[in-house]
Amino acid sequence: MKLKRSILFFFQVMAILVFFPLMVHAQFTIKGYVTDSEGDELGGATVVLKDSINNIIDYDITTSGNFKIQGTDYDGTSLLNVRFLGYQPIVDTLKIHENLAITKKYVLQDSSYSLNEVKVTEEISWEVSQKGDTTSYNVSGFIDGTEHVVEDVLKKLPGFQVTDKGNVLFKGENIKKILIEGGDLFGESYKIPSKNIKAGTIENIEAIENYLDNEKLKGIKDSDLTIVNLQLKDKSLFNPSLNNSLKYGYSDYYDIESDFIMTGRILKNFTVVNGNSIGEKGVITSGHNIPTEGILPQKVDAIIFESPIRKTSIFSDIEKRRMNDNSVWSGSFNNLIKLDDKSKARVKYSFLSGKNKFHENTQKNYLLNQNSFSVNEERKLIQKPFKHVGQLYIDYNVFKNGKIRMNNIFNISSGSRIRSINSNIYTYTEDLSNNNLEYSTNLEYTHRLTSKSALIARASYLFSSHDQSFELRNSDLSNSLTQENGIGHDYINISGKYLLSLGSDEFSISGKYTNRKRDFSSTITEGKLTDTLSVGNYINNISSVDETTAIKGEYEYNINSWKFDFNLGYVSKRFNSLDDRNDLRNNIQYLEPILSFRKRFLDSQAEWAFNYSYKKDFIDIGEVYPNNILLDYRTLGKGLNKVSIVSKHTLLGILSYSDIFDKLITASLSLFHSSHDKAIGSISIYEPAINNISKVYTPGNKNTNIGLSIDKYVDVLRGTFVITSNFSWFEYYNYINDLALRHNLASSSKYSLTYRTDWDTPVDLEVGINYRISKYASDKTSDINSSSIFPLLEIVYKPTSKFLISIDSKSYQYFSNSSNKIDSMILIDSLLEYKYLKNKLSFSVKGSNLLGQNKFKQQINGYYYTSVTSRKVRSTSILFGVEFSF
Amino acid sequence: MCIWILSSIILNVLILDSGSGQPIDSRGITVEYDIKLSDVQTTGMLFLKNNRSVFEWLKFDSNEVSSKFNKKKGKFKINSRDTTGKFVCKKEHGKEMFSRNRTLSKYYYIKEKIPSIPWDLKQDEKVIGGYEAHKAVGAFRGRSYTVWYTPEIPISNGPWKLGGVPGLILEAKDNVGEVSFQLKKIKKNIPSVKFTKCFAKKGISWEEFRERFNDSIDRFARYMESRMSGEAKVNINGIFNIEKSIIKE
Repeated sequence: MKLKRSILFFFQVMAILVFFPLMVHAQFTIKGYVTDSEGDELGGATVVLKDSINNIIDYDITTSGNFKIQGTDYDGTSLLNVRFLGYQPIVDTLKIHENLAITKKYVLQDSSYSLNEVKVTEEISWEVSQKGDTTSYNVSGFIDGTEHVVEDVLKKLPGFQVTDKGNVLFKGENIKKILIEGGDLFGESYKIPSKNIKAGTIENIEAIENYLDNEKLKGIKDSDLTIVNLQLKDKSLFNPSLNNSLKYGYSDYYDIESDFIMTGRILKNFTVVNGNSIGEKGVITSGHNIPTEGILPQKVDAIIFESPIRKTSIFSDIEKRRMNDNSVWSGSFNNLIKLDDKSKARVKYSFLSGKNKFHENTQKNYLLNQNSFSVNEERKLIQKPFKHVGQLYIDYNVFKNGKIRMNNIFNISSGSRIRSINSNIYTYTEDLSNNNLEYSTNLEYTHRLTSKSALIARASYLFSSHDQSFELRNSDLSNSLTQENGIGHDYINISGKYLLSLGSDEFSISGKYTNRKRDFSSTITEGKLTDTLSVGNYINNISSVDETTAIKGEYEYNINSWKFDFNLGYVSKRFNSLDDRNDLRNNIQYLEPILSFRKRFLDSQAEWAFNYSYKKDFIDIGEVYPNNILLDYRTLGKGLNKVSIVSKHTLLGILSYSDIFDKLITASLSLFHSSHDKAIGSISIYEPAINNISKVYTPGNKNTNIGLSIDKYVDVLRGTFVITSNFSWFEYYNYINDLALRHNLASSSKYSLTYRTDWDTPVDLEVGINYRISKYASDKTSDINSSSIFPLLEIVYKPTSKFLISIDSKSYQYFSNSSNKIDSMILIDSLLEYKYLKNKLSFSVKGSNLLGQNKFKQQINGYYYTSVTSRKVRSTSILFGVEFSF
Repeated sequence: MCIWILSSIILNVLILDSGSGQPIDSRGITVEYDIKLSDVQTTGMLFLKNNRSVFEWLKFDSNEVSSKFNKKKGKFKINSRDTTGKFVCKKEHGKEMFSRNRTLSKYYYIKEKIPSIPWDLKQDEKVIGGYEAHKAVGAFRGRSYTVWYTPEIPISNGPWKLGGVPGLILEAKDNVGEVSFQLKKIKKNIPSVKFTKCFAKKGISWEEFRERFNDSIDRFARYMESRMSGEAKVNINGIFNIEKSIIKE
C-alpha cells in the first residue's frame, strides 16, 4: 500500500514537472463592459476574478465601463465579481481554460445599498501631533543625547527657535511661560526652566497657542499668547530628581551647577543653584527699570552700566558675550502648592550675586611741534551686581464663574561699580552705586457674566525707591564730580473693565482710577576737571514731588483688520519742584484724550500697515527718563527745560515686500512723523556718527524719518552672498536749553556683504564686511561726516556633535572728519569643546581663548595723538567637568 | 439662501456633467483619515460622490492665516495655515486628477493622469472599523506602501493619490514609517460645495511641479543659512514630501 502511494506520488511530481512550463504559459483574457440599467457606462466599478476557494486571480477597475482581466496560471471554475457602490453586485461563474478569450457585458441594477457609518476610536501615538491649539512633541524622537537642558531640546524641535539671549519663540512668536505638568511654577520667568531643567527628564513638550492664563475669559477674549508645557518622564507622587555638574580647571576656574526638581500632585518644586568663575550664566538682574502695573520679576539681562568714558567699543561685545573674568552665584527656589480643589499658590525666591572684573592697558603717544611724550594708562573695572526677588501668588476660584488672583512681589537689588584710571601723569577713580527696592501687590477679580461677556476688577499698589550715587575724583581730590539721584514711587490703581465678544470682533469699555506720588531728587556738583571726562564747572539741583490722580475711560473695538482705541481721561497733577529752570506748574488739571486707529494689510509677499495716534499729555521728567535714573551728568538739567501739556501726533506707514524664493529679495520702506505742538526740550544732540539711524528717534518737536532697506541674496560658489543696504534720512527740530530752535538733518547708509558657505563638510565659514557712512548737518554747527568699516571672519569646525572648534574674528575701523580720528579694533575669540557621554555620566573638556586690541589715532589742532589699548581678560581657560544625576 | 441655491445648481451641473452612470449614492460618502506625514499629524477628508472624489488635508480656518517675513525681527513664518489646503481631486478611474500642492514659496495646481499603481493583492485580512479589509502592497513615487482595502465598499479610491485596488482603502502606510493614513470615520453625506473648486483649474504637469519644488528647496536652504548664526546649517535632505521621488538627488 505504501509502495503504491509512493509510486502515485512520484508520478504526480513528474507530471507537475513536465507540464509546469505549459501551465505557466497558459493565458486567458476576459474583456467586458459594465453599464447601469439604462445602458450608461459605469466607470470605476470593481471587477474581481476569484478562484473556487476565493483567492483573487486578477482584478480591474472599469474605465468608461470597460475592463480587462488576464490570467496565466489557472484552469477551472472561477467567479467574476462585478461591484459598484449603489448597485446590486453580479457574480458570474466562468469556466477558465487555456487561451480563453471572451467578452462579457454586465448590467448592474440599482440597489438600496446601506453603508455602515463607522468611527475608529483607537488612539495613535505620533512624534508630533496637533490638537486644536496644542502641538505635542514626543521628545525622544528629536534628541540625540547631546542636549543638556530644555533649551537645547527646544532648539531641535520643528517650529521652535531659541535666540542667543535665551528667548524662546514658537512659530516666530515669543512664548510667555513654561509650565511643568500644567503647573505654572515660574510665572513669566521661563528662562529658569529653559536654562536649568535637564533635557533627560522631559518626555513630551507641548506648545499651546492662543493661551489664556485666566480660563474664566475663554471664548470672550482673544489671546495671541503662546506657552510651553513640559511633561516629565517620571509621574510618581513626589518624583524628586537631582542633577549635578561640576567643572574645575586651570587657574582655579570653576563651574558648578546643581538642581532639584519635584513634581508631586500637591507640591511642585524646582530649585537651582549655579556658581562659576568663567562668565557664564551671569544673567539674572535688570538695570533700573521702574516697574509698571502688575509686572512679574523677570530673569533677564545682566546689569550693564553705561560707561560715560567710552560708549563705542567692540570690547563691549566681549563683556556681554563671554566675560572670562567674572564670578557669579545665582539660585532660584520655586514652589507651586495646591492648597485645595479651588486654590493654588506660587512661592518663589531668586538671588544673584556677582563680581565682574576688567583690566586694560593703554599707551598714549602725543606729538606736538617735534616734541613728544607718552602716557601709560591702566584702567580697571569691578562690578558687583546683587539681587533678591521674591513672589507670592495665589489663585482662588471663589465661585464657579468667579476667580480671585493675588500677586505680591518684592525686589531688592543693588549694584556697585568702581572704575579707576592710573597713569604716570594722572589718576582718576569713578564710583557708582545703586540701591533699588520695589514692592507691588495686585488683586484681580474676574467674573464671567454670560458665555460672551465678563467683568474684571483690579486693584494694584506699588512702592519703589531707587537711589544712586556717583563720584568721579582724581588722586589729589582737586577735581571731582558727584551726583546723587533718587526716585520714589507710590502708585495706586483701581480699574474695572467690561468685555464683550461679538463673534470675531471684540468690544471693551473700562474705567480706571490712578493715584501716583513720586519723589525725584538729583544733586550734581561738578568740580574742575580738565580731562575730557568733564565739560566744565557746574552745579545742578533738581528736586520734585508730583502727584497724579486720573480717572479714565477706554473704548476698544476691533473689526476686521481695523483697530480703534479711544481713551479719555481726566487728570489732576500737583507738582512741586525746587528746580528754578523748569516752568513747572502746580495743580494742573486737564482732559487727556488718546485716539488711535490702525489698519494692516497682508498678502503672500507684501504687507502695508498704517497707524495714526493722537495724544494730549503732560510731559515731565519721568517721561523723558522712564527707565534709567543714571542720568548723563553732561546733559541733565542743561537739556531738559520746557515741560508742559502737549498734543502729540504720530503717523507711521510701512510697506514691506519679500520674495526670497523667486527673486531672492526683501525690501521695506517706512515713513514716520511725529510732532508736538509745544517744545518739550531735548536731552542731547543727536550723533549719527555713533548711532545707527535704523531706529526711530524723536528728540525734537518735529521728527520725520524715511527709511529704505533692500536685501538681496545670491547663490554662488556653493554658498550664499547676502547683500544688504539700508538708507535712512532724518530731519528734526529741537531746542537745546533755551536757545533758538535748531534744525537738524542726518542721513545714514549702511551696506554689508557677507558670504556664508554651504559646503557639505564639518567646516563652516562666514566672511563679511560692513560699511557705514553717515552725515549730520545742523544750522548751528559744522557738518560731521563719518564712516566705518567692519570686517568679520568666523570659522567653525564641528566633525561630530561632541567636538567643536570655533574661531570668531572681528575688527572695526572708524573715521570722522570732525576730529580727524581713526579708531580700529580687532577681536579674536576661539573655543574648543569636547564631550564624552556614558549613561548618566558626562565628561567634558572646554578651552577658550580671547584676544583683543584697539588702536586709536587723532589729529587735533596740529598735534597728533595715538594710543594702543589691550584689554586684559582671563584669556585662556581650560575646564574639566563631570555631570551626574540621581 | 442664494448661496445654497447657487451651490445646488453648481453641484447639479457637476452631477449631470459627470458623464458616466447615475448617482451611486445621492448623498455621497465622507471618509475621515488620521494622517501622519513625517512628524506632522493631521486629519484628511475624502469626499466621494459619483465617480469623482476630493481628498483634502492641511486646511485651516480663514482667521488662522499667518504668513509673513518680518525683516527687522528676522522672523519668517511659512504659510502653513492655508485656507484652501492641499487637495487631490480625481475624476473617474483612469482619467484625470488635479491636486494642489506647494513648493516652499507658493501653491500650484497640478494636472496629471490618475496613477496606475501596480498593486500586489495579498491574502491577509483584518477588520477595520467593522469592515473586512484585505492587504495589498505596491510602490508609488519613491515609497513602498502596504494598504488595507475593503471590497465591501466597492469604490476604487483612497486617501491622497492612492487607489486602484478593488475597494476603498481604509489604511495605508509606507514601509519606513513616514507616511500613514488610518481610517477614523466613515459617514454618509458630504458638504455640497466640496466639488466646486476642483477640475476647473489650469494646472502644470507633475514634472514641471517637481522642477519648481526642487528649485524652491534650494533657494530656501541658501536663504536660511545666510541668516543663521555660526553653527546652524539647513539640511536640505531633511525636506519631507509624500512623493519622495519629487526630491532630486
